[in-house]
Amino acid sequence: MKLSGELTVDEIYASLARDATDTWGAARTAEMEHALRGAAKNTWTLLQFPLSMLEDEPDSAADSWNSGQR
Amino acid sequence: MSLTALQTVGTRVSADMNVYDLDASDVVGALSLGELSPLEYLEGLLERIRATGEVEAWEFVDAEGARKTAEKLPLTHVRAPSRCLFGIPIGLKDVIHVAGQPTSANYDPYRHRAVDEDSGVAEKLRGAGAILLGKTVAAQFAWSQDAPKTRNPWNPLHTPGASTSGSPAAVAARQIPIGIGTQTTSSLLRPAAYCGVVGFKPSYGRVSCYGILPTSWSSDHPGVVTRSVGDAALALNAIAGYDSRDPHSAPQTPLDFVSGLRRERAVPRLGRVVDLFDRAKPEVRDAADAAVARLADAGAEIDDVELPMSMDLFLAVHWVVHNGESAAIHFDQFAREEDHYFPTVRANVQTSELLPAALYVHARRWKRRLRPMLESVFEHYDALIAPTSSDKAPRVDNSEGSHRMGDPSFQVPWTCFGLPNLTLPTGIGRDNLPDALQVIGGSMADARVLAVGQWCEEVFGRLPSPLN
Repeated sequence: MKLSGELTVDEIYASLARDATDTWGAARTAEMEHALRGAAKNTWTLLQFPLSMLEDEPDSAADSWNSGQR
Repeated sequence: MSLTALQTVGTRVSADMNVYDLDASDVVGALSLGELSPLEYLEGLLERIRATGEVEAWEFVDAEGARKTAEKLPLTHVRAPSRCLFGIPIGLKDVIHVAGQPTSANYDPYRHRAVDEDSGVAEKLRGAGAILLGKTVAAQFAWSQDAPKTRNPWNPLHTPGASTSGSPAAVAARQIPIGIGTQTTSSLLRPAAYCGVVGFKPSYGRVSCYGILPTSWSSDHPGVVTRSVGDAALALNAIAGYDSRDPHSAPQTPLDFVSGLRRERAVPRLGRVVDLFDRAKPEVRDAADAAVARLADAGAEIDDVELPMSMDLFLAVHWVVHNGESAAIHFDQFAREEDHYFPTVRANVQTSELLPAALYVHARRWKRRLRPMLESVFEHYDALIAPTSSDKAPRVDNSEGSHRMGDPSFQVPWTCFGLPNLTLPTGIGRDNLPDALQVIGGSMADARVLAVGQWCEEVFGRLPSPLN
């Protein structure tokens, strides 16, 4: 799947559905519709929020419990 | 079973109460004085489980094993924090290992295989003197949206929610005073809200995940379901603590969360999360607004607050991280045994395997970016408040796409960032279904959340039993 903030939700859904059909077959892809629509929406949302190279690295478990010992 | 002798113990006990109506805190007191034996109490709960069997809360009840444990317990004991759950039978969600019992996760190949080692939670419960009565119903791998066999004790046409379905239903039905569950998105507090009980999800890493089947390592939280905030604090005393076997376990100083209820007690300053009130269904919003008004009348200072970024971004970050990790957990077993996967889990696994790694890493970069922004919201408040879920318990025959077991979104901002939160009932609404409010705290502020929760509980009062 191409990752770009310029894609629409429908384009992302179509890309995921093509991948699903190639991987799991048409019948399974039909069963996956709700999950694929959720994936398309969430993928699109994340792609609207790009980060530059020097911005945040991925989080780690320690972020959770070191952020506010009180 | 009605026990006149219990009149002298605690403030909530009266002669006409049945043992199954008692809070664990009251029972521990009665047991310590020898006014009730562990076996008498256990038999009272087993009879209650039989009498309310239509709730279908259990996958496995180890009645004989529980009796053997109860018989070995002394008839009186010194009440001590280290034995804080002495004689209390407990049900654990069926994704949590208990030695000698199967962990089915609602997955047939696991159903008849007893495991030989306790999870960290089970080990701590045993150490605190609890009786591990059995396994409560869970959605398959805590990831399925298929309706469980369990029914909502308040209205059998409705589900208890998922994935922790059995523990809150059993606690609401007075079958046990404490249940253990897990939450990766909303799987503990949402069902607890639907069932009209208290649900508490401690901070990420506060309770060990060792020996619990994972759903998403960076978001999995064990937690407790009770009928009172006091019992939630008692249960947390038993299960909290660092565990070197869990790489995400938090270094922590042992705390007494029961005494913390008094230590942290004050009229709270609360932030009302506008984003969630605005997204709630009208019936839920109206009930939550009424509950907030009662808190304000009781003296709480309440301001409107907003999430620091759009709710959709929180949802997307959590969804991608959860699904990326879940795919890594399941792909090998799924390739070998996919016929045993329920349809919604199958669809989830297949979809998640299509996600590129770069998207997962991008979501985790946003987790680091969002965390301090979210933490800053708590600077001026003891806790935030919001409806626990956007909706009420769905009907058993609900077919609403990916929300068949209810809308998980109102738990996402807190679960994704490991913040402690608690749900408590505020009343009963349409269709005899409970209303609920959640109390959310900053990172590791578990004691504060419990104290605020208890203050709110005193304003709202307690719900009666849904079943006679």
